[in-house]
Amino acid sequence: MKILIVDDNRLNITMTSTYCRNWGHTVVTAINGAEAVERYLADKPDLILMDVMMPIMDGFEATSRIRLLSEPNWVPIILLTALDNDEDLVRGVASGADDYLTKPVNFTILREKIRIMQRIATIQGQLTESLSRLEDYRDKAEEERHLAAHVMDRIVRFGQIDDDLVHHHLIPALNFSGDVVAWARTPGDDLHVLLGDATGHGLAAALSVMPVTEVFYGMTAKGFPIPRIADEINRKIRRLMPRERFVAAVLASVQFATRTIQIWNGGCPAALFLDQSGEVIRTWPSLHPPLGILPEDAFSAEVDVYQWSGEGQLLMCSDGLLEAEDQDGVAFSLWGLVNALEGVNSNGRIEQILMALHAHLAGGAQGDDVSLVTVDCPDRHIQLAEARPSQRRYVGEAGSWCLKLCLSPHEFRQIDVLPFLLDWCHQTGLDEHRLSKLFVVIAELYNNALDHGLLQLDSRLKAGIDGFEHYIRLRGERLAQLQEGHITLELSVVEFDEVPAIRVQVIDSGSGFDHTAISKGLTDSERPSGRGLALIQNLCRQVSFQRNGSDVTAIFPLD
Amino acid sequence: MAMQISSSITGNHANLALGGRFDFNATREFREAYEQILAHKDLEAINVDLANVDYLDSSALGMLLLFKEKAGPGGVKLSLVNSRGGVRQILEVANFHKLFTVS
Repeated sequence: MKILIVDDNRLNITMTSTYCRNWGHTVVTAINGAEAVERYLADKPDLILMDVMMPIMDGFEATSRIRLLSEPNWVPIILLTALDNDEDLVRGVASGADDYLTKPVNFTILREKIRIMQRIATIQGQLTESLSRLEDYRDKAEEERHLAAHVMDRIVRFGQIDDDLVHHHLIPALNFSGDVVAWARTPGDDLHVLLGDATGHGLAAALSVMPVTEVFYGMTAKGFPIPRIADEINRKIRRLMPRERFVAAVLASVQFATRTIQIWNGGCPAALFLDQSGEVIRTWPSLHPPLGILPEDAFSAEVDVYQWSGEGQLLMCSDGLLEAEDQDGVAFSLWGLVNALEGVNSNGRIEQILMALHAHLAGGAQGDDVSLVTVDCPDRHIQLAEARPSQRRYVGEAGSWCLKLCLSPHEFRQIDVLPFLLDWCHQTGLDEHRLSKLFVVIAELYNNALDHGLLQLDSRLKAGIDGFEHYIRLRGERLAQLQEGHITLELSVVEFDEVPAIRVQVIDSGSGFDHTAISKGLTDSERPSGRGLALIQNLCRQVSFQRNGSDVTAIFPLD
Repeated sequence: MAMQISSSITGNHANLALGGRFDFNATREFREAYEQILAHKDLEAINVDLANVDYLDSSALGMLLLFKEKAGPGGVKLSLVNSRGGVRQILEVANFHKLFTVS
């Protein structure tokens, strides 16, 4: 050790130095407090033996200065006092000394005290080093956490656009949320909503959520239906995540044009449909295991379909809400939720639920992420054509192409033809605004050909309570059994009234159907069906039916 | 509070009885317990007894899935037995009866 010996008496210095050197230490000396401070700064000793009574600056003053200067490191200081004086001892400790020794110095005791200090200094040094390593580690972790939170937030929210009909709230239990709420419109203007809740919470849960939103936004933008999206998310989580990680989720498609809701619920609390007074009139309990558990061949993407009549609201939440426990361990529960909603109109529901949750927790901490989302389901639909008047002129090159597809029952069941066609049109340079309308035209004609032409479904089936659900069920059954028949879809660029246009022709091999019955109620917006064709006639320059409705041609203008 | 865990093996049947809160904090104990069980050869069936479990979270569901996967290659049948109250509800919401025999 390097020892700084401070004393105004040269004889004392000589004697102490001799001992210290004999014990194997190196020695630096100073003859007053001021010089001790200088030597401390210049020589960085490992231990200081400090006399108290000295000219210029005494030992107390020098000790407290060196203490300040040595921060955050520690250098042991032993005071040497002339008298065994309590007051000196107190002042000494107050100034920052670690020990003291009375004069005349007993060198046997000094030797032991130096040894003890040496031991403490070693431990102290290790502690300081560990602490600084820990601090570095913490700073680095903090920095990485910030970056991760930023990136994840961007990925999860990527593509999120405000929608007047959607309201949501998300409270993470930790810095990262394992819950996610996402929504997006399809090209046909349906609204897709996702509420997901990944295993656990914190960073690991947030990681599992990333592939979910990526698939959700990507496939919704391309016009894929909910079952295909559920399929793909399930596959992706299974492929990317370890077996014990999965994502409970509700996926909803809200089709305002037909006032229908499709729900896939795997492992989340029941989704609710509420009327205007807040009463629950329909629930969709979890019918599937969460996403990411079942292999592809065992996974069921079957959705439950509902048609609403009269204004209402769809509400979905994560189990963090229902399982939030008060101080006595009582869960908020579905009853708490239903009670909170009683008599509350659709505008203030989320706030009302949060207030009820807050009162329930009574200042206690929430253990899990809490998220909820509502979708307003209006009675009347503002049609695409009216809602988004076309003001932009078409500036792209229409080109000159023709695309023809012949599909058989296998493809009706297996392939989503619309996203494919949409992607094609997008690549030929059609802008999103027109794509979205073209999507509606093709979807309507294709579905008519399939439903009415090949599956021989009567749209009058849709009337009445549960009519729509009955229709959907029957459609599923007939589609599964369909053995033969085909649909030919042809898209081509033509010139119509000296304006470029896309000609859409859909021919089915069925015996035709009463398209006049469908097109009759053009102005009757209350009819559950037939509005599709009305919409098409709005969007197209010309729609003509041949062969009893089994050959339809629509001219979609690009002006 | 820690989860209580005890296991017994009779012939080619194993019983893993759990109690208390089965959640994220029980990860290591649960894994050690099932690894010990799976080390036995010639097992045919394992019952995970949930009678004394008060609470189960999604991490616990994940652990059960992992256990099932580890038991799968040996052809061991894994059942979740004696679930009740809230625990049963959680298993139902997650549709775990489609993955395990649940009683």
